[in-house]
Amino acid sequence: MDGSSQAAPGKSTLDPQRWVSEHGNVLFKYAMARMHNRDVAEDLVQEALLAALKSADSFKGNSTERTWLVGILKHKLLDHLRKAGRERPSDTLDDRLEDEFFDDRGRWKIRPAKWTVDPHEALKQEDFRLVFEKCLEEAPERLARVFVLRELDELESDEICKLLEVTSTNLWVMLHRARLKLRQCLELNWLGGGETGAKSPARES
Amino acid sequence: MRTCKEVAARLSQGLEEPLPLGERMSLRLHMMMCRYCSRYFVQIQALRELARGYAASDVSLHGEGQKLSPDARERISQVVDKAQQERPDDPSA
Repeated sequence: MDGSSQAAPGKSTLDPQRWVSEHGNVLFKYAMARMHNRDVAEDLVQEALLAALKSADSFKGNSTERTWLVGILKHKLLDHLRKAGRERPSDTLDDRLEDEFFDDRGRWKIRPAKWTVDPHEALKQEDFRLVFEKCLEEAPERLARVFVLRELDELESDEICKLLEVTSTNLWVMLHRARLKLRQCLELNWLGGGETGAKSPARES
Repeated sequence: MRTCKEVAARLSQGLEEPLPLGERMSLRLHMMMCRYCSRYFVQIQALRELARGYAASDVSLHGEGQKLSPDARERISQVVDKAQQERPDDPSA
């Protein structure tokens, strides 16, 4: 050992390991509160820390380290949400989505079944929560984001339009498609009764 | 006669903003004759209630659920560590 204390200044002043250990949970909780999706929240925390590392020189100690990191995360979150709104709903993927549900004469192809389980009983059950989370995760990402903002966060339509920079017509179409998808997923995996046993939610970690 | 595809879209829109009276009448008439659209309407309203109920009691926002999992913590640590190693030693150089 030469007892080198010549650590590069750029490295010695930064301690991203400590960011993770000291601020990781706070950042994660912040992202979860908006995204309701662990995978997405984890990714956002990681993205934010990488961005922080890149722009570490911008941290001058005017604010606490935590405030600085949360600010960066906020930015990443907003970027992520905007991406959800940016593409027009008329883009190809979504049109095909509606074709899954209606035939070429506009009739139901996948007919809504009679729900045999009381949805409100469902809320009390852990299994339901798992199914609901799974359905949100499986829905097309940007439709799920819009649905979360509207139905879980209960933002008003015009707030969401402003946030995502979309027209109200686009928002309605996206919500409609999210509902088609989620309704069907819940029906298949939970509410329909009947064959649901075979489709009980397996949670991968 | 409107198709179910159109009706379903309008029913969903009706959850976002009040529809004109004539529109509401026409949707109601369709639903009287179409049990699938009628079910759909009931179910998207239930979906809204379920979503709000879920959010209100979101256990994932409490207790252990609000923490980074050990796996995620480990993974993120490694990624930022690697990124830091790859930084130029002296950014001003």
